[in-house]
Amino acid sequence: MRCEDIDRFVPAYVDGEFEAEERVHLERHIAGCPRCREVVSFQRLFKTHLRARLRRPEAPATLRAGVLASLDRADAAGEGPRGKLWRRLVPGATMAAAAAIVVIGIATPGKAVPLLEECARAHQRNLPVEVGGNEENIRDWMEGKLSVPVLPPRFQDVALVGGRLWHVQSRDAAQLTYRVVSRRASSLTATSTTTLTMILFDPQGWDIDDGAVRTGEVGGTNVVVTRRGAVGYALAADLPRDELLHLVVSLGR
Amino acid sequence: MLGQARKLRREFEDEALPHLDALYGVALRLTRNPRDAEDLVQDTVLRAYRYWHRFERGTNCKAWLFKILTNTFINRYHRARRDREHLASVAARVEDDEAATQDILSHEVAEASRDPEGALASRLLSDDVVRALETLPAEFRLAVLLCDVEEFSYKEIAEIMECPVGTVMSRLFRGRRLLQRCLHDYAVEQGIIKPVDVIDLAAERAKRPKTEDT
Repeated sequence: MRCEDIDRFVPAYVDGEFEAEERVHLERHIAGCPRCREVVSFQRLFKTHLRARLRRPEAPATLRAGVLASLDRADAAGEGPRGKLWRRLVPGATMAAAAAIVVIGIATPGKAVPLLEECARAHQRNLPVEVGGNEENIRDWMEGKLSVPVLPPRFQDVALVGGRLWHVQSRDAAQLTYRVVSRRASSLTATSTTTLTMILFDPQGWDIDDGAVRTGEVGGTNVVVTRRGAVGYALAADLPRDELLHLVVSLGR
Repeated sequence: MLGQARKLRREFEDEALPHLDALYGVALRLTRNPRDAEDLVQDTVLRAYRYWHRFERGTNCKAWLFKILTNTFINRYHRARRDREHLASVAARVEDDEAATQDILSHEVAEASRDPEGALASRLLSDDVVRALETLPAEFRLAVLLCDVEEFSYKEIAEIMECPVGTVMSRLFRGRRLLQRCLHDYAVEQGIIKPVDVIDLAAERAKRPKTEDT
C-alpha cells in the first residue's frame, strides 16, 4: 500500500468497514509511515469528537405524545397497518364474506365477451372526460342522456375524475374515470396512481344475473363485469385482477 | 379495535418507538429547527405505521425508519424549501471542494503534527460543531450523521439514502472535509488555532507523492 492508497482508504478504515485482511495491509503501512499514521489518528479523533459533540437530543415529550395520538387517530380512521386493497375498500366486512361474494359470482365470460372488450377499449383509448366534478355533478349531467340511472359509485382511496358518454354495441352507456392510489409501488414509501375506467350500462340482454361477476383480460387490461339490480358495471384497469374484484365487492354498499 | 390490529399496534410501539430519539436527533439537524423536526418525525412515524405490515420482520427496523424519514424529508421539506434556502455560499464551497481537497489534506497533515491531540472538534463547543454541520448540503449532512452519530454501516446508509455505496463514501468524504474546513475557520476566528498562513501548502503538497488519477 502506498500513501495515496491510504488517503483514499482512511475513512473506510476509521469507520470500521475494512475486512481483517485489508486492515492488516493498512496497519502494516502506517506502522512504518509517520505521515499516514498522523492522517489516521487525525481522522479517528475527529470522528470521536464529532460524535461526542453531536450527542443526540432527547425527543420532546410533546412529540412522543403527539406520535401516540396520531397512531390512535390512524387506528380510529382505519388507516393503521393493513393488508390488501379490499381492507380499505370494504371497511368492516369480514374477509370470509368478501371472498364468498367474489367466488360465487365469478363465471366464464360467455356472452359477455363483447362487453369486456368494449370496456377494455374505452380504458385503453382514455378519451378526455366530458364532465368533471363530484358524483352529483356527473349524475345531473348524465340524467336524461341514458336509459339507466347513473350515480357514480364511491370508493375509499379512489378518486372520481369525471365522465363521458360511451356506447356498448351501439347502446349508450356512461363511462366514468377514476384515479386509484396503488400501494404496490416499487419504492417503499412512494405511491403511484393508475386510471380505473368504469362503464355503466343497461344489463338487459347480456345474460348476467344480479350479483354475478365475469372477468377477463384484454391486451394487458383486466376487466370485471357485474350487475347490481338494473345497472351493469364493467371495470377496467391495469391493476391485478384481485384488486378489481375487491372494488367490485364494494359496489352498491 | 380488532385483535389483529391491536397486535400490530403493540408490535409497532415495541419495535419502532424506541428509535424516536434517534429519529428526532437527525430530523433536528436536517430541518434545523425543532418545530419542523417534530413534524418530520411525526410524519415519518405515521407513515411507518401505515406501512408496518410491509416491514420485513427480522430486518433492521431502525434503518427502515430512517429510510422513511429520508424520503419524507426529501419529498416534503427539502424540495419545498430549496428555493428559499440560501445555499449560495455552500454551493460555492462544494464547487471548489475537489480542488481544495488537496490543500486541506496537506493542511490537515500539518495541523495534526502540530497539534497531536489532533481534533479541531475537541477544542470547539457543541454549538460550533452543530453550526458547522448545518452549513453542509443536506446529502452530506445526512451521510455524516448516519455514519458518525447513528453508526450505520455504509451498506445500511446506501439503502437508507437509496444510492450506491460509492456515493455514500464520497458524501462522507466530502462532508467531513467541508466540516473540518468550517471548524478550522471557527477555530481561527476564536483564536483556538493559528491562521492557516503558517503552513506552506505548496511545500506540503510537494512532499506528497503524486496521485495517478489526477
